Amino acid sequence: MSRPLRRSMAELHTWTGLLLGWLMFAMFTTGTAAYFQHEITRWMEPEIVGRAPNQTVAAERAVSYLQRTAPGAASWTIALPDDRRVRTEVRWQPAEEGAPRETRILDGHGRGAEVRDTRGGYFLYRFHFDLHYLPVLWARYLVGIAAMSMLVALVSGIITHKKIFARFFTLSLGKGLRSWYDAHNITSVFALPFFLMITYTGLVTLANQYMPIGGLANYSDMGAYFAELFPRPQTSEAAGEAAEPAPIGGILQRARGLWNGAEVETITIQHPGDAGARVDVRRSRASTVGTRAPTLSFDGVTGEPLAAAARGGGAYAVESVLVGIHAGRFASVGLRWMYVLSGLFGVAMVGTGLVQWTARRRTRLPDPGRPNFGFWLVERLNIGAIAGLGAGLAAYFLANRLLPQGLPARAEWEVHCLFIVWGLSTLWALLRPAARAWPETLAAAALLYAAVPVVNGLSTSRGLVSSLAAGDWVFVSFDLVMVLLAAVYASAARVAARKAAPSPRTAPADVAGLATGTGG
Amino acid sequence: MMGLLAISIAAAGFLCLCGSMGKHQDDLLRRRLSRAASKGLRTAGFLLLAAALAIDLLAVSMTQGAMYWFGHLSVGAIAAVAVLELRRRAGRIPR
Repeated sequence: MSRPLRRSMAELHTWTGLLLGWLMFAMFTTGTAAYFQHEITRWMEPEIVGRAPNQTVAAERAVSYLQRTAPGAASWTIALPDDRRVRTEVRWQPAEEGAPRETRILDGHGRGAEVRDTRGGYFLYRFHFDLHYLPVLWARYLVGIAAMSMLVALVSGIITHKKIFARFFTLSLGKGLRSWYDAHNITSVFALPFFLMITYTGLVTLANQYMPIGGLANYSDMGAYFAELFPRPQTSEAAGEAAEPAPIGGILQRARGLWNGAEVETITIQHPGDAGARVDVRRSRASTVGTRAPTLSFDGVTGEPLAAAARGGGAYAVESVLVGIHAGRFASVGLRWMYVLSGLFGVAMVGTGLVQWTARRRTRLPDPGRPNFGFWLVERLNIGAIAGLGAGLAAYFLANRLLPQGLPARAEWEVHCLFIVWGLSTLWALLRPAARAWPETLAAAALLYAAVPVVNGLSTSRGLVSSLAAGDWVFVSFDLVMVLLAAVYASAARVAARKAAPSPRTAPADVAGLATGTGG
Repeated sequence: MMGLLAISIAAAGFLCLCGSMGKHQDDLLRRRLSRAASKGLRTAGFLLLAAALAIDLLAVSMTQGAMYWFGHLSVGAIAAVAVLELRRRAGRIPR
């Protein structure tokens, strides 16, 4: 491999990594958290207690709730609980023209639960590709550019640093620039297959938006393309006379039989209680690696399966599996933790890469006390992105516990709290000397995380002690993860404070060796 | 359980690969191994990684074994680096 190629790859790596690095950091962080989105939602909806013994019982309870609450509705939809979710969500479309759709959340006993208004873990999942305060279409283009930059940075990084595998077993801590280099190297190599997979499959999830040409070449518009790709269940006509509905338990049993025992995710019942009732049952997306789950349709009165339209071909199945591998909905607890661990290494890879950019350039500054504008900005944005987002996420969880129940647009205010704290941290970083801003914002994040289990214990009956006593491992794990994050941020703050005290200690020879050996 | 076995075997594989590199031999053994010995360690390392894949496919999951394998490789690599770092801390390997 020629030297000029490696040098140009090094520059490519530096700048693709830097330009949208802060966005990549946020995407990696919230995307990693999204692997536990249902568990986070459970923690953020502490009012929901109990759990139905199985899906059939949950479905029967939901149907009887809907029969009492919305008997004449045009349609009912039931999102069932599963291994990870305890809530049953019921929605119904009133028969009156133009009436808005209604939603209720049921607890494990099938009773309507007075749940605080929150977007839960679902917000973190949506944010990692839809962002916030931006039109979704723009956000997704931005996210796509960031993901593409990530792919370029990964490949160019591998070409540039051909010694990454040889240096892989070396971790020299506390040695200034070389430590940042090693940390970036080691976190990148640890889960390199995962990074390549997650970035590539992430682009696949939105490929139709980024590359609509295939669809547009064969269809009048993308709407027609999607309508054929993801057909909606047919609508049925109401007969206008009442009929005894088929028991939902029997329908679920037949569906499971046709799916080798797979669980169900949602049930939609059109014209419930009518002779023309129709039941559509969608398979759980957690039951196979592929994420495009099929739907079975049943006659709502006889309970017999209706003819199903054939769906998808080879490309459809490949896309379904690629997206499925990205989202990891199929993953067991063990594999899910490995997803999260790999994601955390992704966070660390982007974070150490960003910090390395400044560490490498600081020694070359004519006067480190008065850096040029670019350096100044990167350093401050690093603090805002790395420490500020951490603080913001902790604030999101705190807001969930502290905002009053009746607050209008409460769920949206939880999200505002995340961005207010994130923004304030960034502002703080812009105003303070960088060496001070690092430990200060990191310590603030540590305090916020440490406050989460405390506030949870004080404001709900589901604090750490009672969760331990009840064997509620989701709540126990959530609180412990908060404590762990507090410890990580606190030790990072301590290291940063120690660094802030003396001047940079990097030996010039070390820097020179790295600069020639590895480029930008 | 089978997952832990796959992780341990992957970690052993990474340690073999580490031992096959001249630079790390200086650190670990304070001498260079012969070419043949280095090559043997290298082969053993890759064979162990392959063995971890075989365990994941045969004993963990035929359909998802490859995905488990990548996860187990990552955890095994972390374990291997942690072992080296602990030895370094203990003073057995010069920094």
